[in-house]
Amino acid sequence: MSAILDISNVTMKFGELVANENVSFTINEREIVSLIGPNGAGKTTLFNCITGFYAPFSGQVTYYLPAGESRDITGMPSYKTCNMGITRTFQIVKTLSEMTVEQNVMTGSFLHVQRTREAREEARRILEMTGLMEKKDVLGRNLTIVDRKRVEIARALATKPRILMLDECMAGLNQTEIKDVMNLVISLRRQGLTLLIVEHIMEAIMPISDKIVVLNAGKKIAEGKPQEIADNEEVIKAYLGEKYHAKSQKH
Amino acid sequence: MLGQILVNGLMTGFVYALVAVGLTLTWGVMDVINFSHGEFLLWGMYAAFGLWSVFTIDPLFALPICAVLIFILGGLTYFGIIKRVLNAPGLTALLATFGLSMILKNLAQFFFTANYRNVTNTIFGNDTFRVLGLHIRQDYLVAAAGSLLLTILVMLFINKTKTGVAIKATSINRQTAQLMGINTDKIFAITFGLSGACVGAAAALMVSFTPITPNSCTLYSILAFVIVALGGFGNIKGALLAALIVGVVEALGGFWLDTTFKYAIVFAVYLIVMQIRPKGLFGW
Amino acid sequence: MVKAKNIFKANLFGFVLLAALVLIPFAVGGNADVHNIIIYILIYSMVGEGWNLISGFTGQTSFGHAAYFGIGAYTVAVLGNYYNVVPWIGMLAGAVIATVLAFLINFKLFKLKGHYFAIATLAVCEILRTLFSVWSYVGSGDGIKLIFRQENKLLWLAMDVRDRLPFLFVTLAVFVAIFILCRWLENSKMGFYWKAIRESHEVAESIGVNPQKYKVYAMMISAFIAAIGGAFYVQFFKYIDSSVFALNVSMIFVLVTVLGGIGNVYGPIIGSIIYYGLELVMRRAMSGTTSGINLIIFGALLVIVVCYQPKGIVGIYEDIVNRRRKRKLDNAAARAVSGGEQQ
Repeated sequence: MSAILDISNVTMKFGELVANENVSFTINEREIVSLIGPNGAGKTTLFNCITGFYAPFSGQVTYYLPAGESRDITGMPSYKTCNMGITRTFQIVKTLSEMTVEQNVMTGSFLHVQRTREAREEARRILEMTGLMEKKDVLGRNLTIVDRKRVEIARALATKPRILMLDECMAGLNQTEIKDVMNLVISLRRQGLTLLIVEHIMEAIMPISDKIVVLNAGKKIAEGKPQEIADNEEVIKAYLGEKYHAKSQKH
Repeated sequence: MLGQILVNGLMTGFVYALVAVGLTLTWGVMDVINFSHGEFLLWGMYAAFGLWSVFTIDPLFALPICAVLIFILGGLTYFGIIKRVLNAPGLTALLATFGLSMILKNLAQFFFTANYRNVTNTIFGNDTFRVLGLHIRQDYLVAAAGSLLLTILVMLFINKTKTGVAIKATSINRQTAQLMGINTDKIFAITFGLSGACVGAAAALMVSFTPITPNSCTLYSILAFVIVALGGFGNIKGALLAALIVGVVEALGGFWLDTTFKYAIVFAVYLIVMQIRPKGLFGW
Repeated sequence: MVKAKNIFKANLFGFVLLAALVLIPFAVGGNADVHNIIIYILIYSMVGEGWNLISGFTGQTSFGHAAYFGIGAYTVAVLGNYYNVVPWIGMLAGAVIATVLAFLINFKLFKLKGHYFAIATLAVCEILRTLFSVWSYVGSGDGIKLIFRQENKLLWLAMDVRDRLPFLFVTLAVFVAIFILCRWLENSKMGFYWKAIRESHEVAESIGVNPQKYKVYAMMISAFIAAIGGAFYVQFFKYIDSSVFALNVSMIFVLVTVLGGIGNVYGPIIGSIIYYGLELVMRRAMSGTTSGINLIIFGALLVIVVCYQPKGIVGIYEDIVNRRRKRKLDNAAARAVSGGEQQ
């Protein structure tokens, strides 16, 4: 499998506060990579650094095009990276509230088509795939949170990304809805997409991830297959804290 | 000569500062720009004129009355209009206050016609006295000094009194202020009223050397906006400094180029400054 | 033919309005007052449509559109008087100049957001006003009076306001063309992108849209249209001076669009009809001069409408329609429930 995105020694500072410190890992094509860590670990910050919302203090983000060429996309504004095939969703959903569901997705489709009619057809395809077809004429501001998250993903898919980055898209969903998202993620991978997922919900990402990267206090503390991560002492310590880890070791 | 220009510019600047202070407060606290600020000033001037022509009260003594009158106007504006558009998107509040400005301006025109009104024979007339080789007009000086004094009073009010601090808190974060038990509705009303009072006071100070006509008030609105934007919204010290800069630039521009260019220069300066610091000189 | 029928239904109001605008000039016979008001309405609606593109769809409020309007007017006057250029060519030239100016200025200006941007547009326009008031080439403070050369009459192709009815219909035709253009733009890729930018620069960027680029496009097209309005304006008044760049002029475009319905293609024309309709009514009622009462009423209307429905009259209309639709649905649902219970 060839690499599609390489994050190399990325450090992000806000003034004196170090949010990410020397984080490095590589994402390969058609991998589902999950980025986890306790609250405040710097996951969303890293996300923002990768997608160009922040320009990292130091380090490099390299993107590999299908032909094998590489591009340094460090700090590149997100509309440029989107044009190259990298699309992200937001943790706090930002549905275009004055547009209908269909129009929201169409706005994404326009990245690759010029005519409104084509955009509408493209959008309808994606609405079918994400189960939003029935709600296509509902205004953004009248949607439930769950539907907004679906629209968020649908709109991102409309931009035909090679790599899709989901930022805590499962927060607030119930069991069925989470399973739906998991299935969607797997089917997307089958269609050729690569996915980077930031998540808190372990039961959702463990079964579907090829690789898990764990952050804690801005640093990467572990990387590997789900099982390796589950058994990793550092990870357990990070989530449960020193005291509890020590306690659990005693027995 | 340059010194003279500078001094005149500074004095104008102080008066501008008093006019702008109210606007920067409402902008900072409520994110509302009162497009009818110039019309508030106008009615303040007419009030001073009325008190002078009917009751022969010198504008300086009429000042408190004018301040109170426009304070009331500000309060009424808040409860009648601003309150309803506080959370509306975009520049809705701006447009609502523009509608108000149309009403106020044309009402003034209807009652007072467009004829220039002048207040003459005030206590501090246009005698000049000489200091360090510069000619300083008494009434300009009184206006400038009065404006500076009142601006400082407002600053003290904001920083040292309980209500003032509440205003400051509300401007930083409305929700948190509410959670802290601050009645933001009352704060908004007071802020708007205060902005009116400042402008009413400025009107009384200006009336002895400014001809009153409905057509001139728009310019003051625009100047006030530029000053507030330059100083960074919500920042009183910024507004004072920006007002002084604008006063001096206006004076210098009028001198070096031509009086017609006075305001164009001010606007050009605004554009240039905003390129360098998009949130104003001291804005955050 | 189904498609044509659908277009008719969807734009019913537009067609009715169009019919009215075509028929009324004939219905009032030789009443110049009404003809003039209609021309006014059309000119300001034109510019309003343009303003709506950048301030309505894209959400970047401009208080300085008189800049492009005035440039359109001045270009036609200068080219017409000094170089004997036909108004249509002058109009095109003016529109191009305005577009280029829009590009140059807003490139930098769009760094600013919200209120700061609005004031900057105002500042630019004021600077223009000062420049034009002292520039001798354009007549400085005296302005330019249009010269009508009798030998060119045919070439002017109905841009001669002395033939009022043809001028009216030409203005109407151009307005309709602009209206259709704006409608089309609204539903095009550009329109979608503009609306996304209006809501959130971040969202727009995340789906591949460069906000700066599209904001500049909107401003350029908007300026082009405003300049066309300016061309008709100068042909109508036969005179132009630097007061065309005054804030008052810029604000009329803002006000009529906001009152009518900002962000909607019908907004500008509805607002203009009210604005000038009021003026006409007041002038008749007060025999000659309005004493500004129409402006007081308009100001009050604006305040009321803006406070209760920021989307203007169009918004009020939509509210009524939605409420009726909802009531119908509720009634149907209630009937279904009670019908079921009776079983």
